[in-house]
Order: sequence, then structure tokens, then C-alpha cells
Amino acid sequence: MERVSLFCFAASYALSLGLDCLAMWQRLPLFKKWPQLPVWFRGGAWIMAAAGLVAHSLYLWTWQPSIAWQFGWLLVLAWFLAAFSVYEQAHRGRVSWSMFLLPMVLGMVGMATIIGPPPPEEGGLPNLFSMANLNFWNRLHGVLLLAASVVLSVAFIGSLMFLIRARQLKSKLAPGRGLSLFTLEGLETMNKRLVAVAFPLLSAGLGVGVGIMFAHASELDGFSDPKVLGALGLWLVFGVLLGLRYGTRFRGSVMAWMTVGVWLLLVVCLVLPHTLPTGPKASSRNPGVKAP
Amino acid sequence: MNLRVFGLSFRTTSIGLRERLGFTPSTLLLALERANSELACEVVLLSTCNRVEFYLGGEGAPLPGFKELGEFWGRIYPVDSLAIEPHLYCHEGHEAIRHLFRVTSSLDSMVLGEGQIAAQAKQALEAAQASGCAGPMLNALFQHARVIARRIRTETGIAQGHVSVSSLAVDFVSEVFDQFTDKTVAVIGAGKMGELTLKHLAELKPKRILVTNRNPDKAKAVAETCGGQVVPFENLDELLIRSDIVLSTTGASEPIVDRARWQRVQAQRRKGTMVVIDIAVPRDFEPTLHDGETMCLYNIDDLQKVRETRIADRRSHLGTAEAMVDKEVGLFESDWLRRRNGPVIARLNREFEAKRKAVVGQLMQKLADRVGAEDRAAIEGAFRLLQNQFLHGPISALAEETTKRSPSGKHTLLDALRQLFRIHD
Repeated sequence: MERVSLFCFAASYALSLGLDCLAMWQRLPLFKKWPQLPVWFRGGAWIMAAAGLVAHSLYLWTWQPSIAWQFGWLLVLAWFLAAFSVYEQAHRGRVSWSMFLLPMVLGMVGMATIIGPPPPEEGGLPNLFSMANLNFWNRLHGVLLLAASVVLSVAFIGSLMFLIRARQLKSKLAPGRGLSLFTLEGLETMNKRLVAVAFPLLSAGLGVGVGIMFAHASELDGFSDPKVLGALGLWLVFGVLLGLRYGTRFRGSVMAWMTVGVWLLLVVCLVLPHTLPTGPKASSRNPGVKAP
Repeated sequence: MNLRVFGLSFRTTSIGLRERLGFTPSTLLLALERANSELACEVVLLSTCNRVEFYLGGEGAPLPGFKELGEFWGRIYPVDSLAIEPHLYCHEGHEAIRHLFRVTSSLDSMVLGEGQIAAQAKQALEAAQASGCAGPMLNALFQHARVIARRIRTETGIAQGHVSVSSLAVDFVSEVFDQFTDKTVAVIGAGKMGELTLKHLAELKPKRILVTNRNPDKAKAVAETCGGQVVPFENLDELLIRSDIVLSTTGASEPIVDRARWQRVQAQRRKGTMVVIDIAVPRDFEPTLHDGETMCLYNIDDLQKVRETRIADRRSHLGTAEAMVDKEVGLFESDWLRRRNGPVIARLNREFEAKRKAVVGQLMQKLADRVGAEDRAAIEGAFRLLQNQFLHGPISALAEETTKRSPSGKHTLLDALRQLFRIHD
């Protein structure tokens, strides 16, 4: 099990993505000769994605990376998205979910590789699977933020799909041509629902984090900490997005662009604490998830 | 294979002649009844708006030629058989099988890949079966044709996507909306062109259909055909505010919905995207209103363009489909010949078996007390071996003839075997 590396599952996901891209290349002369080939490619893509997911699971199980460090956080987030992609590929093979999700998963694994695991002096940090040394509030904080990130990432994909679908419709692309996506109405509904689910999760996660921060005020730089500021900014923008969703009547594309913006802000919030030198201990961890 | 097809299609005749020579359900029945008594062979008559074809087959008597068929046709319809003859095409044996497979797979259709012809071929066979005109050969042939047609439709892209303008309009609508039971369809105008599109839209079971027209009587007539409600033409703005899908087919010389009107409507709309199918010429909606989000506007040119793309896509699969047809023709011929040889081989085996048993029985009576059970078994085994070795040669030769089709299409070896061993059906 210890031989399973980041490369193993990243390569499987990349191969799956490659096969999916080939399968959707309708004008490939090979497909004229063997019309069943795209089906085989899609099947192969699913098998590779599933194999990647198994390797990914084994990696997480073996190394149990801490979600208090970006490395673990990104890998766990990537795992959820990969699992969602495998599930959707099996159930709605016609929609090109994996074409959107797998690049994101690969990006997250790549980012985790760049950031790397925590240094030895941080080795004692709590991890995802043995959280015995974390109190209830820390756990709740981590789980809520992780859930919000998963939902927001799917909303981001849904928004990208919406924008591409709107583009297809604007250019009057023949039905069935190009990327296979949900209907414009379906994507707008999905986006609205996901935003409505992600915001309470994020709010609750941040609320718990603020509570923890007040309880351990001495360990943090207070409100000047970039990750605290970033998280606050994210929450505010998200709040505006939710206001638009329920309040005024906005075009779907405006909603979609804002969702994309919120997701990019989430990525910044994840990476920023790692790149900027901040507080002595909490600087390299996720917003709010603290060492006990 | 003793098979022949005579026919005329949109490639060889004008629609006028096809109308005169085509068969309605009642005349088809009459023709089949006559064919049963007059043509002395298996007959299937395929008559559609694009082709009329007689499939003739059977292992017995020679099949009718141009002259006989022309005369037969002339006895059903008051047309000169000599006038028909120049338009008729004829395919025999291998080519006739290939022709039927191409026809049922819609490779020879006016609209490549259309789905109706397979069903029409099935109906033609059923009519022939009901009249007693279809025998083992044409039954097997048409059933095989149905299978290959289904395979070609599913395994190649020959039938991919809709190509009729009305179906394409529905395809565009389905790119935008998930469900239709909560949608309102508006019909503006009562053009003939819109009838089929409206029928397709009504099949989506929208929540309501609203119809408007400058002439209230025409609006009422359209509303009655689709179960819609009439809205006065003066309330066009209100209609647009309430609608999700609009089908516009007016004869107006200027656009009835321009930017100013659309902005006025949009300010009051509480709905999402509106899909407009504007099949009026001149156009009813200003084309610049299309933005792919608040309004998806498709006019007749857009639909035609997609139609041409789809047809070109289908054509690109023609080579694969033709190769499949060629392969299946060979398979059918081999299969048919095997079926044809089967009864002769079975009969041959049965007769030799009976003779062997009779000879061995007599021998065993003579040797009654002189041989034991073991020797009896050895003698019976030796005779069985002799029988198998004796029959092996002729049966193998028959199988070889099955795989190598003779240029004349005749099966001399099978006939020779029948005569040599006096095997009669």
C-alpha cells in the first residue's frame, strides 16, 4: 500500500481524461471505421477513473494526510470530486462531467504536490482519520468547510457548463454537436441549488472557526491574518451571490460568472496562507483549523 | 439464388408515374391475391411514396421477366406495360439481396437514414404473408433485411439525429429546457409550415398552448387542432410575457417583434429563456434579438443549415454501412444455401440409416448363434463407419458448393444428389 504514490492516481485520472477526450472527438476517422470505438473509450475512461479513485483512496488511507494542511485538504477535496466524477460517469455517461471534473482533480493533485506535505516539525498535526486529539468544534469546523468546498467546486463546474452551453446556443451549434451538457434550464437550476446549499455550510464552518479563534485568541494573528481576511472576503462575496440568487432577477450567466469568482476566491484562500508568511503556527494551515 | 426484384423508384421515375403505379392498402391486397394465382412464385410487394418494388423468389419454376411483370401490372392498373418497362430496374440473385438490404437500411432512400422504410418493408412482408404470397425464401430474406437494417441504424451514424425541419426545431427547444409540463407554448400565425412543428411541440405535453392570429377564426381553428387557447392578436405582448416557447409563422411583411417590443416584454417577464422558432418568411422576429440566454431565436435558415450538416454527417457513415451490407449479403446467401441443403442431407442420412439397419438386421439373423454380443457390436460399428465414410464425400462437396457460389447461381450438385440417390421432397 505504501507504494501507491500521487503519480499513480494522477496518471490514472489523466489517462481517463485522455480517453474521454478521444471519445468525444466525433470526427476522428477511426470512429467512422469502428463506430463502437467511442463506447469502448468511454468504458475505458470510466475504468481508469475508478482505478485512480481506488489508488487515491489507498493513498489517503495509508498516509492519512492532515486536512489542517493544504496538502491533505486538497487531496481530500480532490477525492470527493473524483468520486463524484466516477459516479456521474456511470450514471449519466452522456454528459461530459469528467471533462470538467478530472482537470480540476488533476489541478488539485498538482497543487498538493507543489505545496507538499507538512514539514517534520508539523508532523504532529491532527489528520482526517484520527481526529482523537481534536475537539468537537475543530472537527465540525473542518468538515463543514470541506463540505462547502466540495459543493462550491461542483457549482463552479456547473457554472462553467452553463457558460459553455449558453455559448453553444448563442452560436446556434447543431444539437448533439460539441460537448455534451445538461440543458440551459437544468444547469441554471443546479447552480442555484448548489449555491443555496454551499452558503449555509460555508457560513456555519466560518462561524465555528471564528468561535474557535476567539477561544484561542493568543494563537492567531487575529483579524489581520490573511487567511481570516480571505475567508471573510469569500463569505461576503458568497453572501452577495446568494442575495442575487434569491433577491433580484439576474441573468444565469451573471450568476455563473459570480460562482466562478467565488470558487477562485476559495482557491486563493486555500493557497494564500501557504504562500504568505503569517502567524507562527497557524500560518500553514487551513483557515480556522488549528492545532489543539 | 433464384431471386429477382423489379421496381421503380424516385431515382428512375417522376412522382406522377409513381402516384399512378403505387399501391394503396386495398389495391395492394388485390395485387397480392392476383400475384398468388398468376405469377406462380413467392411475391412481396413493397409500395411507398418513393418506390414500388416486386420481390419475386422461389426454388421451383422460372421467375417472371420484364414482359410478364409489365403485363401483370397492366392488368391491375390501366397503363401500357410498354410504358412502364423503360422505368423499371431489375436485380437478380446476389444483387437483388443487396438491393433489399440497402433499401431497408435506408441507404437508397431520398433522405438517407430515414426510419420509415424498415417499417414499410415489414408491413409489405406481413401483407404478403397474409395473402399467402411469401414463402420460405422471401420470409428469410425480409427477416434478415430487418435485422441488418436495425444493426446499421444502431451501429453506424447513418440515422443519427433528426433531419426534418420540424424535428430539428424540437431538438433546439430540448437543448434549452429540461421539462415541458410547466412550459407555455405560443403560436403566432397559422401558416401551413408550422402545423408539423406545432404537432411535435404539442407532443412534449406543455402546460398550455396559446394561439394568436390577426384573423380570430384562423386562430380558433389552430387552437382546436392542438387543444390551445386563443389570445387576441392585440395582446401579443402579454402572450410573449407568458410564453417559454414561441412558434411564429405569420405572413407579415415586417418583423412583428423588434428590439423595442422585446425590451418592453422582457422588462415584464418573470421567466427565464424564451425559445423562438421563427419559420416565417419574411422573418417575424428581428434576428439580432438572439443572445443564446434570454432569447434563443432560430429561423428557417438556421434549421436548414443544421439539416444539411446532419445529412452530411450521415453520408460520412455510408461507406461503413455499405460494407456491412456486403458482408451480410454473403452471410445470407451461405445461410440460405445451408438451409436449402439441410433437408436433402437429412433425407440422405435417414435413407442410409434405414438401409444399414435392414442389412445389419438380416446379417444378424443369419449369424444368430455364431456371434456373441461383443462381435455384434463390432459388426454394427463397422457398418455405421462405412455409412459415415460413404456419405462424408457428398456432404462435404455440398458444403463446399454452399460457400462457393456458382456464376449461374444454380446448384447442380444438389440436384445431382437428388437424382443420384432418388431423393424427392
